[in-house]
Amino acid sequence: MFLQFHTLTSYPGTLLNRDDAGFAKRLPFGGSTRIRVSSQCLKYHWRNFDGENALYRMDVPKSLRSRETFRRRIAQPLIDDGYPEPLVYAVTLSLKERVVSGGTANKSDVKKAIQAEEPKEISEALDTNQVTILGAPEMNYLHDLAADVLDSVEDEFSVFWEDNGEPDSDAVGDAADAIRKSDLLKAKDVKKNLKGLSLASGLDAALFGRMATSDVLARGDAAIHVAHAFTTHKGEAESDYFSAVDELRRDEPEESGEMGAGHINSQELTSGLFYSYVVIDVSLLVSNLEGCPREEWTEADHTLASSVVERFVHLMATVSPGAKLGSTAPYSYAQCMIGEAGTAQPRTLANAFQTAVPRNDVLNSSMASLAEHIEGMNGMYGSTNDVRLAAMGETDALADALGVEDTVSVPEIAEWSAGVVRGA
Amino acid sequence: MDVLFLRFDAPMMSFGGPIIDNRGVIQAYPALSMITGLLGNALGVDHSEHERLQDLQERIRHAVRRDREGKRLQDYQTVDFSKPYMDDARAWTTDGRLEQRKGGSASSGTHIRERDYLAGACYTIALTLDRPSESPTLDDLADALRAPARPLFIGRKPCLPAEPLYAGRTTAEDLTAALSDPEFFPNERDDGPYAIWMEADRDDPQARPYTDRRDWQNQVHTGQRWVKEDHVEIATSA
Repeated sequence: MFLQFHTLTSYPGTLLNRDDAGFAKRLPFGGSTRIRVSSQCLKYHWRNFDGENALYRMDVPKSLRSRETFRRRIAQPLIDDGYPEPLVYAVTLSLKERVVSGGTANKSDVKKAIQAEEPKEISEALDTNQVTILGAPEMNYLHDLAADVLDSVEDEFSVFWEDNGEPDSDAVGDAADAIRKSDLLKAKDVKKNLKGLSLASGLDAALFGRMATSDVLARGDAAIHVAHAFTTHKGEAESDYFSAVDELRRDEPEESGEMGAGHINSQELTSGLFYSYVVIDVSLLVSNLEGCPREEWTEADHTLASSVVERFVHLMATVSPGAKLGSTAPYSYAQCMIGEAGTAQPRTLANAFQTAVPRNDVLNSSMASLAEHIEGMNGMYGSTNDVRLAAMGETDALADALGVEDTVSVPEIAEWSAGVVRGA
Repeated sequence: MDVLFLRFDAPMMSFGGPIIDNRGVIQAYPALSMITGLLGNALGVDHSEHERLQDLQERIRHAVRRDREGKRLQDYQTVDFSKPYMDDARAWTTDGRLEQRKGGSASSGTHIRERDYLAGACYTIALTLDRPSESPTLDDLADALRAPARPLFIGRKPCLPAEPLYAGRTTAEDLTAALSDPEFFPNERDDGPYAIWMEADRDDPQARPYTDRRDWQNQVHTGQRWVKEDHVEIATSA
């Protein structure tokens, strides 16, 4: 299941994203050069935005199942593998403590986990107070580590593996120590690695991926793919000559012998209507947020994923690549947004603008180009996507091409997207 | 032979070559490893399933045609290593130890990276599989491309395709003949000739060695493949 979003956003008189020489980034496309904003620039501002709908301000419901990550994703699979339940709880608790607080689990807590009988006691031992976002690579590693710890104590504590084994209280205490203080969890390297795992995981990595190491098995794949945005028309740039006035010298020209311009320079300013495109891999997003294998994503909890997506749609439509804030106030909202949900291979509609649109009436011309391109694509490949359109201006042709009755608002697209993720 | 066509049409794409220091260069045509990874992605193969990827890579025979040359673009990117999310204390690995930077001037501060892209290019790839009856078959690949397990991209994640990658099937004498078939050119075409790259015998004087086979288990490129550049024209149907 994929969600795709396309926006058209106008930025007059700005310098959104620069190259090493200070000029606006550009893109040669269809025989003319466009102004470009790189995907890494867009993502940087979306992930760090700190206003309404900010990703980090999410009020995730306390009941969310992500608190049960350790119980559901580590303990249960180990029990299914045939490891004795009491020791599975002991090792899961010890791992949780390492990952969440960086410390060694308390002996009496581990003993309680070994002796737990009621589901309530088990969840008290293993569930975390806060939402724990660990992806499938983290879960695989933690699961394998836990299994190694259990294997290492099997000889000494075989009583737990026996069908009618009844470990006495000494055995419980010794097993608790053997597990919580196992070298496999306490070695300096491992402690640092588990701390690193905890630091590296989180919302950010779940959305945009994490590629910190050469270890491809530890990599977190991005669930959100962002294309470079570019203008639908030939790039328009102006060299803005400016001077910084030294007011002290200006006020005393006779003494300073100068007219007061302390610094003169020029910077490039560009104007354009940018086409921007984003794909959300819903199954991978759920897997990254809930720590489940990707193929089991439909059975996982979709609450967090759907609220992330709802916020993200707002961010895409309203958050600007913030460069030169003080001198250009580059704050614009999208004037056109298309949302699509489906399983067909996602594709950008960028080729609608391969022939640069004329510079007069840019928004309406761009929407007309989009409409024509969408009709062409649908004619060639058919369309199975569920579609929503929010737009202002002359929207009829675009609505017809997309096969929607009418336009909706951006909040409605956000809500619809969240609904798609919830129901998926 | 049975042939499957892939179309690469995107505002930006990347056929990555060896990255030296901070300079990410591209090559004129996609590597075998890239085609393998792309198809693996469509099939939903996981990073850990290196045997499936290795096996697929060994079976792929492909030839590449450039339909529109595009322009090279050098993107300037900066990475601020002082940001908390770039801190290498979080670089965990499945080996159980952190993989940290070794120190030196490149391990802190703002790091500059240059990444090349091809802008506005269009390529067609003709592809067939050795041991055609084994899984995945060309039919499986075609299905996976039409409804892929993950979003597909051309070389790097921001390089999102502007057309479906699946561009049709045919039977042809060989891959060169397939790439001359007038039915499998883009709608807007010029007269050609079109540059093509294909595997060649190492004794062929035009063949050049190319290290584009990936050892998927050890995550490095190894070995050689001999590739020659040639050209095709649009065949006039008899």
